[in-house]
Amino acid sequence: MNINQYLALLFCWLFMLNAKADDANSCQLEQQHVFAQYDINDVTKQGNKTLQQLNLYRLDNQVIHQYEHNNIGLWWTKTSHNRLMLNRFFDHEKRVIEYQADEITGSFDWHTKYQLINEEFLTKMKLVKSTGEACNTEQVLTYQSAETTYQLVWLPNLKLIKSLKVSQAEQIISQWSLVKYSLASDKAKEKFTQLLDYKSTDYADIGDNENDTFYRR
Amino acid sequence: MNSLWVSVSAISTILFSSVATSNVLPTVQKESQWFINDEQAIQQKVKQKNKHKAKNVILFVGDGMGVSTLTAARILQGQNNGKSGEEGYLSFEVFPHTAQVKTYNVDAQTPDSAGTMTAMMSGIKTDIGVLGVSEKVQRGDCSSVKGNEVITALELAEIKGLSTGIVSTARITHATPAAAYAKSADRNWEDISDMSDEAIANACEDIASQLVNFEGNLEARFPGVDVNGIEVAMGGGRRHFLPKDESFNSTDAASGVEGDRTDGRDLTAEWQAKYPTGQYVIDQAGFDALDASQTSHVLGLFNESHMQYEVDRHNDIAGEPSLTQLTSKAIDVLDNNDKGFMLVVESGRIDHGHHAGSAFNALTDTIEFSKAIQAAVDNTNPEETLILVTADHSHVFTIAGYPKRGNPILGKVVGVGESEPSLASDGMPYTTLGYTNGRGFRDLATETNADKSYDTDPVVGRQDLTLIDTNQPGFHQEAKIPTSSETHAGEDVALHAIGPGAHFSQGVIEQSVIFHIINESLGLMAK
Ligand SMILES: [Zn+2]
Repeated sequence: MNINQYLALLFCWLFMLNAKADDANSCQLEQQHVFAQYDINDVTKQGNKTLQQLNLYRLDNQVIHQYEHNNIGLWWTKTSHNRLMLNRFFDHEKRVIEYQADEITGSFDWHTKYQLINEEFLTKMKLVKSTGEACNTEQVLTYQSAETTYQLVWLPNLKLIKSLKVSQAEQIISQWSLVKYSLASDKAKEKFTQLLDYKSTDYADIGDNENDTFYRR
Repeated sequence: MNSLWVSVSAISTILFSSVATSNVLPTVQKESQWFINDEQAIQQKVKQKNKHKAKNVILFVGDGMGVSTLTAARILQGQNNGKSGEEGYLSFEVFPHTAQVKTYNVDAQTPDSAGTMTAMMSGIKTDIGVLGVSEKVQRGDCSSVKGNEVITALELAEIKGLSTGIVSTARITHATPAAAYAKSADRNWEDISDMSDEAIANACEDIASQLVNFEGNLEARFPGVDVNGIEVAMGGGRRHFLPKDESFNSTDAASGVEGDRTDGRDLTAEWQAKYPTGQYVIDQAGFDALDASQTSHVLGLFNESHMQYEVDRHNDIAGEPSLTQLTSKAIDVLDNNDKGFMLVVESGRIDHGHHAGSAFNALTDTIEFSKAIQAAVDNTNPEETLILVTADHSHVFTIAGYPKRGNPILGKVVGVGESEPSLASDGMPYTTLGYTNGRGFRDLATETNADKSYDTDPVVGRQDLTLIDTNQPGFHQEAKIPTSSETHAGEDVALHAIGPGAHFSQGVIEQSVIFHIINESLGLMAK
């Protein structure tokens, strides 16, 4: 267990002691400022294995997905008027490209960004067991489609996946595991603050920046 | 006697020749509607009388509206009205005078809007990417600006006491509109957060700030001059006028934090303080409520970035007026001045449709632009208003193959006498419209926002279009060369003109001549 994880758990435990009477919603505030890191193991049809590390940052109505090996990050903002705005950022160059905000039409749009899993899909899954309380609540959920089996360990009050196994014909094709996370995270706040200083360009303006070598790639 | 003989002889010659000609012409020819219409067109030219001096000038600029765009838009307009398409005209294509315009910048064979619009507004060619300054300026170097600022037709009109206006569907701080009022070593210095440390240290002023400070800046440059400011400025680009602070978000905000300004200035409030009787509007309702006859100044910022494509307007949060509505309202405000007015109207997103590789968006915005020009024709007196319509540059957009007459312009090529698409030597069908470069093929079905093509990597080269409906808004034409965005093209563009001084538009001209046409007809510079 690394220090972040330890602190996060300790925080939850202290929180529980202080507010045992409160229901699970008392985690609401902490889960809104989150840094979480996942290992994603995928197996291709040819049997090739890949490991990717995904960082998830949440700050209220903003979410970042960034793969460790990748310079590019995706940054979504749920704005007023129920719109979802996408920005792509490039850490090396300190640049942001802004895309036009789209209307959010279903839960797919926002939840898959915020908690990495579709809310509708979650409600379809079968609850196998539930352990722990409040912030520590853990649910084991499964879903079986014609070809694919999903096994999820879900932290419902933190809105985080703890682990997810996707298998076909008894072969695991994708496995997600939460490596570490921090609630009420300063790291998340720092990340979003840092992005505000990047030079941003509206995507419609890429064509008129012919002298900018950044866009030639 | 001699002279009588000559005149009788001349009459008989004329009579003889006209009889002879009409006799010589086969009925199939002289009764042809082509022949009759075209003869009428020439008779119109014969009757034409040219006036030199205009009271008002309106310069319309279709950003990126090259000649192939005119042709394709004209065909689409006709086909949308159930016609074959090729025989029609965009509103301004019936204007009596035209010229062919060379668009290159001083340092660039294929130009950009900043250098080209500076040429049109100031009468000199300059470098790519710079605004309202001469070629002596180094792009991006603020310290090189001093002493190289030029004066624009809009500024001269202002000094002459005319009312002035700028309208664009792009951000009002974008290159084309900005070339009318700003001096900048870089077109991208739209607000202070876009500027380099050098530019800020050397006190270069960002473009949005120059718009709001236009009156004071002009008076400071020319001591003794008293002007009353730009009466009408309407377009997009609110982000450059507001502080980077969520509390300044408007009700039309799309981003979490709408403003970009890092100096904390709220330029909309500064503008309102300068023009207490002026109206600041941000949406359709505010626009509709403007009483043009009572309005001294209007600042309309309808989007935080560019305004919507015409076909996408219904998606706007708080609603945006069309370019036609903007143009009509601008004229209604400006014509309150008995001395006359100068108005610049840009259709800014034809360029963006092309850059995104979407003929659909480029052409539908061109058709709306044509409607806006018709509204100007309908709302002004042709005896006193010079209307010029041109483009700043072209795009690598082609109309190719041998489609039959009336073949859907966004469709696949179907040959003369055929009903099935023609196949290329690779056995696959192909579209009439295409791009030499860009992000290439997309099949986004009913998506009407061309810029969605930036979400995914370029797909260039041949695609099997057999099962794809290329007439859908979301279809993006194939491209040959992968580039981050489709590019401008270097060939000449057209200039169309009507009204007093329109006849100065003739021949093949440098783009900077357009300033001199405006100057000549408005008499901007005291001789
Ligand atoms: Zn362009």
